[in-house]
Amino acid sequence: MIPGIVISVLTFPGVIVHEAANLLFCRFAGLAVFDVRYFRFGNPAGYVLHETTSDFRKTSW
Amino acid sequence: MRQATCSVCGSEQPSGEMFALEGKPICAACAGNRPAEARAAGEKLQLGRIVDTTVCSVCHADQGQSELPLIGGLPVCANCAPKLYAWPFPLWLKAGMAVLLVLLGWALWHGRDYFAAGRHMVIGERALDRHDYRRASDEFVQVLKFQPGFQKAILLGAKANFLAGDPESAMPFFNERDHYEHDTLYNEVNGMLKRSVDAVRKARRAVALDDAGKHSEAAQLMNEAAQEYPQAENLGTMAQVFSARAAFYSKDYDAALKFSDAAWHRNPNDPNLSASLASALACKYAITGDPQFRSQAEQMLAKARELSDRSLADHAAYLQYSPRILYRLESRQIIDNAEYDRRFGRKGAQP
Repeated sequence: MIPGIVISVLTFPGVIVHEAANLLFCRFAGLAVFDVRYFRFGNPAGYVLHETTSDFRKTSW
Repeated sequence: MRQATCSVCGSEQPSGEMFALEGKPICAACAGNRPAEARAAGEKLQLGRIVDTTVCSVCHADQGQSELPLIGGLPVCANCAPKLYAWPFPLWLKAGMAVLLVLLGWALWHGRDYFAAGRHMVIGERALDRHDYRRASDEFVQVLKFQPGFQKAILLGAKANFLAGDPESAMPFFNERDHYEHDTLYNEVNGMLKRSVDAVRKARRAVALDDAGKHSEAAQLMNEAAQEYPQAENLGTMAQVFSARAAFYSKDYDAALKFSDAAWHRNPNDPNLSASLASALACKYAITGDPQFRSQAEQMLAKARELSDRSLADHAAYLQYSPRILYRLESRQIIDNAEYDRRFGRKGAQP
């Protein structure tokens, strides 16, 4: 069993890129962003808090 | 800022600092233990923070009694709204991305040889698929300039040349590498190599047999060589030539004509093949007396003369065999080289 912290350390660049991409596509879709955390030791390791939408295209982005 | 009254203790507080319990306002103090009590009792609790739409949820600016527009269900003032739609990327992230882009550029520049090799590889494989063996071979040579020792390029380059009937051009490819992995392609090309080597060996033995006067055996062996390596055009032509010669010495002039004609059709611009056909036609004229055979023989001989003017060796050969063919047409006698030399004391070249 691999400790979660080890997985976090190994995968943190991917988490940062993932959240950055999330933020970028929120911009493309014109969604408001309330908070961004690129990385932390916890669950989830990163997040982008943004408004929801019922627009299918924006949801797809 | 709006005020609300706690439904438990009755205190009046800013509504943005209170919660809604089962739809009723409750202050933070009164709501403190409720979640734990509900969990202990196994009850489900509807508890949520009250949103005061007169206070901006970003900068907490109080708009008095004016309600702010909602973004994502939260009140946001006009100053803060644009920031939510243009959340900035931090400097460290931009710097990191810039470094990655520089690394990407350097990697692409550093790997340009690999891209070139890959491009030549794709073009070569496509050329091989559409049987453009010359082009395929040239492309694989280019691949090996960038990637010496690349097994697949070596084997495909050799394969292209084997399929083009040019085993001599295939051999230099094998010098690029000492050891090979015995994969499917290796086995295929190795098989081609063995067949071509066997075919060339048989062809050489056939030539030796022909020189020794064993024309039938020579023809049979040359045909075997041609069947073993059908891509080699020259072996196929030699098989026809040897078969024609064997038929001539067997006095089967119909077969000799058939094989000579087949050989000539494989390469109509070869003066020796033209002369061979002229010789076979002269035999038919000698036997049948049909003037059409004579006319065709003279035409073929004229063509051989015209084609032989392109090289000194061919012209010298023409000067050797043409008198014999003309003698055959004039005298209607069929004699071989040895007999001709004996009668007229000169070496006849053998088309």
